[in-house]
Amino acid sequence: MKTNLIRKTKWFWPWQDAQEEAWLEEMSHQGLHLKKAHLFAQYDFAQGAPQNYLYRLDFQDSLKPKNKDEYLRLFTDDGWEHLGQLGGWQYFRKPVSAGGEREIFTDNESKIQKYNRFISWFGLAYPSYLVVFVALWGEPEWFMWLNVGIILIFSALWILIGLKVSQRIKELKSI
Amino acid sequence: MTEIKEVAKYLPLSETTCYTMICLVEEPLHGYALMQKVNEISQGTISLGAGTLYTIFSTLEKEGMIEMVSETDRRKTYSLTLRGRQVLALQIKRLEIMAENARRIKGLLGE
Repeated sequence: MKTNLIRKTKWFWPWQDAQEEAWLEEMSHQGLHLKKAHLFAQYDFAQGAPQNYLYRLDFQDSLKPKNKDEYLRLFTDDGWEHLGQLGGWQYFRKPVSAGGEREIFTDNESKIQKYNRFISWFGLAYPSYLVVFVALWGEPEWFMWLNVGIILIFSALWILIGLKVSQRIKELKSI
Repeated sequence: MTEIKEVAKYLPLSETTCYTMICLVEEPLHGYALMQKVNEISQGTISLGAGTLYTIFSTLEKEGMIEMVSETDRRKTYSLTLRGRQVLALQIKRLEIMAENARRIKGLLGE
């Protein structure tokens, strides 16, 4: 039997990963189960019977292959299915009925470190985009203005994301 | 012998890190076995999520407090190093002082 795939576009802000998890759980209640995440916020859902699933997101952008095996093994041993990754976001799922631990992060310290990994990745990624844009600098004039526009948008995003994620870390530290 | 001052920088350990190290004193363990043991010996007060445990393992290994002793079926088994034992010993001293104080004032809390 061929499963119907439904594609949805859903953007999420990196400081709202908990809301994203809740949204994926709600989709599963409606019978739409995440199959794969693609770049540009594209999700493929498989249609089926409604399920009570837990969805959890981690951020790991630089796992070496030998560490990744160990990393994934820890999760699968605890009943989590790895649905793949998007950027550095790792998507995990398990049925509520499977029991065991409902969370992948059970202390604030490790939650903070997750956001810190995101910030280090983002802090590095953006200046490298900037280098590419500067390298492409030149005529024609419309192209130059397009470049300026993109850089401005990215700069605004950089500041916004940096501030918001830092704020989230601060909240966790004060608990 | 490592200088006490040098390992004191890791203190205080978080409750989860402390339990992880306590479990590894008795026997080398892999991740999932450790999760279950922590839950058991902490009488259910501490549960370790997979992401949290992976973070703790990475940090402790990087700081030379645990080391991998074997790997089967993609599961790595870790044991506590001498350095890890020294750090844990200092943490236990702190905990004992705290427990002493806790016992002393417990009766004054009422209820």
